[in-house]
Amino acid sequence: MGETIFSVLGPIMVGPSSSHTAGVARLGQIARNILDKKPEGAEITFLGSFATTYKGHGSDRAVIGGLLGMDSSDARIPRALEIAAEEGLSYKIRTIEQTAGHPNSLEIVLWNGEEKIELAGSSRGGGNILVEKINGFDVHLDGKYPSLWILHYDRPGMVGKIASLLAEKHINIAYMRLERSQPRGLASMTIECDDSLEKELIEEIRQKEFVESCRYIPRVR
Amino acid sequence: MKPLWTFENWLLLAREKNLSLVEVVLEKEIEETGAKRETIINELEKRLKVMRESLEAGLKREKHTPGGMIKDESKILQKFFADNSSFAGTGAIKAAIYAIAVAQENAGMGRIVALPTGGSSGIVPGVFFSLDEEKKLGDEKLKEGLLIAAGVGMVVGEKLEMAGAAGGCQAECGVAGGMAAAGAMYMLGGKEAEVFQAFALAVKNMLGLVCDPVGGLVEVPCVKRNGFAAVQALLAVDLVRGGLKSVIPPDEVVDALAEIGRLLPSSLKETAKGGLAQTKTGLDISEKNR
Repeated sequence: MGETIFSVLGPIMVGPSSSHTAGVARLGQIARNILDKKPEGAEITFLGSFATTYKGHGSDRAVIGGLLGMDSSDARIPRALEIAAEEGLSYKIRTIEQTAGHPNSLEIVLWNGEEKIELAGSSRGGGNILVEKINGFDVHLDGKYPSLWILHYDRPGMVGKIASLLAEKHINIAYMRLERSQPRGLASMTIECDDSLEKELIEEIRQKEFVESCRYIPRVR
Repeated sequence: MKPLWTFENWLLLAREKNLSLVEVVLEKEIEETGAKRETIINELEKRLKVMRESLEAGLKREKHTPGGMIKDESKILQKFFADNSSFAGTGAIKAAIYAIAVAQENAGMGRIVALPTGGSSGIVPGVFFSLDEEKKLGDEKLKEGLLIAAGVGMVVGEKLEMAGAAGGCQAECGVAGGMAAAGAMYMLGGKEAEVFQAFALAVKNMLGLVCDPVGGLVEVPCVKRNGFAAVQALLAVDLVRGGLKSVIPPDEVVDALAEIGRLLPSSLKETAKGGLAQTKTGLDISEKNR
């Protein structure tokens, strides 16, 4: 994969911990982008090592900051909990020490009215992250590429249709993953691209037959 | 499948293409990310700037960190050593004070550059900026040093996740010490093999280092440890300059680092369930922070 030197010379971030603060803020940012709306409520579960150490590292501030759209170097992160109150985001934090997954994992349920998303991911050191599940579908997103998360019905030619739309705009696909609930049922397509995507293109994808929703996740910072 | 980014392959590429170690890292970055050369240089400058800002802020810091264990350590040291000489040497104490200053800034939720992580963010700036003052290296050299440090970090990253939770403190401060030592060796004119030797010596002495922070916070022992690791990186450089060599080759040191990281029990990997975190005083402090 396209590993950059700036994963070890960076990120530029608000301390104290690249995994507990920067990485967590980034997971929050992705959740926010998947909801694609100003969040009203959030339930965050810190798992494994996170369960015992999140507080002292300001991981609660970092994840809420991310949900409010702050990047990991945003100087407002230390005040994120106060800002959440000002912006009308209510949240609940839970901890579960046992986890079969990565030692630094978290789950986010985020909503605005009826709209609700669930994300599970982990923080893998140096601010590197991995989103492992969105709304129950297995995904593999590290936030290093501008990405699309498309919910669609499992029908022949879906990959081709979407890939052609991207190709027309000279967008190169770096990585892609498909997952379906059942044959012909709802399916999830994650596409990590080399280039940023314009709003119009995302709108075009949304208009395609059998596409349920399409979310754009810019490169996280 | 792309070959693993190891010290051996890095050196091989430099020889094949007749490039410096720095140029090989730059070429690799361009190839892997498609970024332009000037974009990369700009990014390096940006990081150097933030590193300096966090050093300046840390040297002035006198406010308690969230966990209350760290306050004005670098200020106290600056004051004392303004009138007193250091037994360890002026270069060493300066590197330690600078490293502690940046680490304090990190612990206080200030803005820093993770090198490679937040908990170890003081070590590279401590070594680089103290050397810059002593040896008048200048920003061009410092940027080259950063590229070497980055190349080193990437070598480790191929085999081990750089997080206390995954590999203990050796995967954070240990790696940072190796990055700083290699970068310093290069900036001081070390030959290719010497750069990697400095890494190997610095890291070998940090093998097995556990991550047992009090209350799970990045305060104790993290902040002072940044100072120790910075001085040790300088010692590694001096040992290499003086003619010593690591018996175990650098790539094998990385293998050992990764293996030990896996073998360490989870109680000593950032969970605050062992070591200093579970001492009587550690538990008292932890209780106050709940």
